[in-house]
Amino acid sequence: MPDQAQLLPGTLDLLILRAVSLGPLHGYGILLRIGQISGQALMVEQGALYPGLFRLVRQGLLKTKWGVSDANRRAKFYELTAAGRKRLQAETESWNRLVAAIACALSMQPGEL
Amino acid sequence: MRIIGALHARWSALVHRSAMRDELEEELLTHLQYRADDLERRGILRAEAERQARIEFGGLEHYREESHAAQGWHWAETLLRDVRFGLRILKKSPAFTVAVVITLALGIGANTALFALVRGILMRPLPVRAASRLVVIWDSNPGAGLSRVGPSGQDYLDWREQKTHAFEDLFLFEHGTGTVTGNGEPEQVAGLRVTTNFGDFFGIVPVMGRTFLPEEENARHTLAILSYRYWKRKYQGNPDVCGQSMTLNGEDYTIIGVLPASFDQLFPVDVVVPFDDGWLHRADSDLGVFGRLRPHVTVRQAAAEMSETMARIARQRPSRKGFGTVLVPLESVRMEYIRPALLVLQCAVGFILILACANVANLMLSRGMSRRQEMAVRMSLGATRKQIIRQFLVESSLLAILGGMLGLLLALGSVHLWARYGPTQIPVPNAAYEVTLPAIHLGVSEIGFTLVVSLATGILFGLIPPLRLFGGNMQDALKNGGRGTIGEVRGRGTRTALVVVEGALALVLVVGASLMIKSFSRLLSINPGFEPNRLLTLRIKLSEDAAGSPYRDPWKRGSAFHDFLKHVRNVPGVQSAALTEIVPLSQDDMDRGPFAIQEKPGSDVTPSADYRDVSPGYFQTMRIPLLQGRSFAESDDARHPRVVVIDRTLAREYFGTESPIGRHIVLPYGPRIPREVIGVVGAVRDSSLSGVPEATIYFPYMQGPDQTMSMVVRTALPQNTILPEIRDAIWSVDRNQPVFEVRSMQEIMGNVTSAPRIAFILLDILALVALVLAAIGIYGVTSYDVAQRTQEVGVRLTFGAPPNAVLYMLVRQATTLILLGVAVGLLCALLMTRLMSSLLYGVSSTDPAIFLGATVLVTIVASIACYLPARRAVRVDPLVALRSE
Repeated sequence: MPDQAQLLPGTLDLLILRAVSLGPLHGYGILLRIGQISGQALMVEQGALYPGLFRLVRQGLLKTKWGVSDANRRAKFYELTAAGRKRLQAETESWNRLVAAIACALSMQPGEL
Repeated sequence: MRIIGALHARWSALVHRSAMRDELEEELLTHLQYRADDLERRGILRAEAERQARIEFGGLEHYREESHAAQGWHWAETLLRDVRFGLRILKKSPAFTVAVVITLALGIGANTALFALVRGILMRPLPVRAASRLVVIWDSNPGAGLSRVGPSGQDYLDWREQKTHAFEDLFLFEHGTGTVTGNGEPEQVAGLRVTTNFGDFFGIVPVMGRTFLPEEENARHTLAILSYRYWKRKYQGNPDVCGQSMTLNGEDYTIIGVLPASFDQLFPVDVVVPFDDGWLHRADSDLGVFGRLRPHVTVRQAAAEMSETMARIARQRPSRKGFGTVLVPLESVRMEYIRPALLVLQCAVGFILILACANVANLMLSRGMSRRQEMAVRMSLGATRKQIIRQFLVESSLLAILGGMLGLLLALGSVHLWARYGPTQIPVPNAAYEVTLPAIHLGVSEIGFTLVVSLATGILFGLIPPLRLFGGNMQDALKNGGRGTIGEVRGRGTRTALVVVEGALALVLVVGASLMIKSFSRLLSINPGFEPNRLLTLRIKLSEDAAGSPYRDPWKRGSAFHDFLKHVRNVPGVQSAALTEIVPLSQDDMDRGPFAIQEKPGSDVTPSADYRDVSPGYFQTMRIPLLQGRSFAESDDARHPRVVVIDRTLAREYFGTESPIGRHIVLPYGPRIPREVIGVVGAVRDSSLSGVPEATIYFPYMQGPDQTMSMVVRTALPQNTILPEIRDAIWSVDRNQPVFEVRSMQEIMGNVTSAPRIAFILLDILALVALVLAAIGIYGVTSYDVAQRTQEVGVRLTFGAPPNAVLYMLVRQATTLILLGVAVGLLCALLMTRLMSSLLYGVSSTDPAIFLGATVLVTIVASIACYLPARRAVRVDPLVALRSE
């Protein structure tokens, strides 16, 4: 999949929070959801997901619950906490500001200065 | 609580860590299964799908560890692993471990014990309000040679009237004894007469009842407050004691309250009663006055104000001319006798700790060197410096904590010994007052102290070896395979410093201890002017205060004492017995005053002397030599001419070479009766062993009988055999006469020498410990050095160097360092022993013989410590030595 983009450092947490915000998911589910919502354009190395998940749990942004998946397997489901929801919102806003600023900077033409 | 909660969470994470590991494992496996399912659905065979899932996942092991770490209790597990590894390492070299632990235990134990002592004695605040603002006020009259005299009630009234601004309040008290009758056996109790601001002055909250009211001062109120101890002992802690009456000196007193137990620390008395007007206006001195300074007023300011006050008083009352006051904070007065001893010991145990640390650092360093290869291997396999340092720190902290625990046990033992053999009372110099030392315990702060000291030493010497290691080139270590290269002796600078420090500290302690030994033997060999062995002393106080007492008539008092003496002298086993107003060295009381010599009028300064009323037979009983004339006879009583005996000091100072016999002494007040000097006796050290004997005038007690006298009894029988007989003899004269303060002269002498004795015993032990530690340390350094050079020695021997020359070479290098250490130690000792000068008697703090002796001793011990390993190295077969690592 040559047209997949590498993640910018620090964006994994944001993606995880966003993926989980759409409903409780287990680890593999989060991976699939990230692919789905990014139109298969972003690639997360599978193993790198877990340290990120545990970090977010420790920060109190995610909570976990063991349950049974649609494939009838026991799995650990991740859910947003209230703090997680707030963080997601804040991060989204700051991301949008960053993107807008960078886009603006990149689209500037010599004559417009 | 939050901290405890957090700790609990960490702990449960630690305990349940295998469960959490399992969970993580399951989660990762589930992930792989899902991925494999997806791949299988794309038509890949299951086995191939599982393989591919693993590959896609990335480094499974790496992410497993990283996830684990992300869960947040990684550090605790690492620590636990380091501790386990450390314990295993320590178990593998038991000799090293034991050596380090014992060395540290000695250092830490000594420090903990002394910390407990210093905290218990010097740092414990008195259990009264604003204890730090209380000062003791004494009269002084430098012109008459009086440095600290208890003021009189009149002084107190004067001072209060002058409204000295520096003080919030002044408090007057008098120690005394009273006779309690009508409640079991007649009993002499320790009493305290106080002004009625007593309760407010000290902020006393009585256990029950109340303290005195201000309006109870001017009328004669027969009210009494009991001490907690007396209430427990005599009334079995009866809660209904208030309102009961007790018979004190033949009068009925109403008990109005009970003091808290802690008050004992300030005044260890049984009963407290108020002064009445009559008592307050008596001109007797030797009462006690405390002042409570206003906040932020210094003692110096108060003293300045008091000297103005005294000048004003002297203008109104010319007899007070020449008198000043001395103000000393109460808390420092109480401990001024023992503080220097404790501070010297504090220094000594500090040195011991440094020595112990030096030894341990040295051991760690040597071991660190021999573990160089291990460290190099670990670092080349990817261990970071941080990890290596952490490993060393964990190991050294383990050692330090083990040492600390053993040290705590040692301290516990020492405190136990102190409670058993240490002094319970210490005198307050020149104040006729003794302080009861508080009991010493190992409490939370002592344990905390030990913990802090242990961890601090652990971290300190744990850091040395790795830092030294990183100073060198790790690659070399790896290449050498741990084999020492000739000429390359790493860590030498540090070890050199250690040997020098050890030599120096040991020398300082040995010098200090030797000074103490010499001083103490001087002190014990002082002739006090009498023969202290086999003397029993006891006090008798006639109850002259009681309304119906026959002893209000002074001559009845004399005949009562006369009868007591007669009966005691008849007790079998009593060699001789006599009476004296004050037992030498007992710190009981002071009686001092001016005198004049009738034949030598006109001198400007009124000389002063100690007054002593004694009975006939006193000089014989005490074995005070009669130098000239005669001593008192039974006939020297009220019906015969007044006579005195003077001591040699007075004779020499005021009569010079003339014979004083037949001259007359006049006391410059009262009826001014001339008293003929009939004899001269030897000088007696009355107030302290180390002081100079004061001029003394002895009066026959029958010519002015006192209320309280001490009986001195010379007997070869043990105290508990003879005492009941003596009591019976006294009771055969007066059934209601109590006998108190029974002490042997040895006991009294023991109190006087307590501070130097403590310093003497402990400093000797500490010096011995220091010497042993230094010897072990120097031995260790030399052994290691020599072991490093075994090959070199082998080469030299193979090429025909005579063993003795090699031996000389090895020893010489170590000895040079020792001599350097000794030189440094001599300098330190010269500076430090000055601290001890107040503890020393009859020996200068720079006594050259002692400095020389200590230097020789330390040098010899240290030389032996480096000779032994060197000799062993030379005796090894050269061929073996060559092949050795």
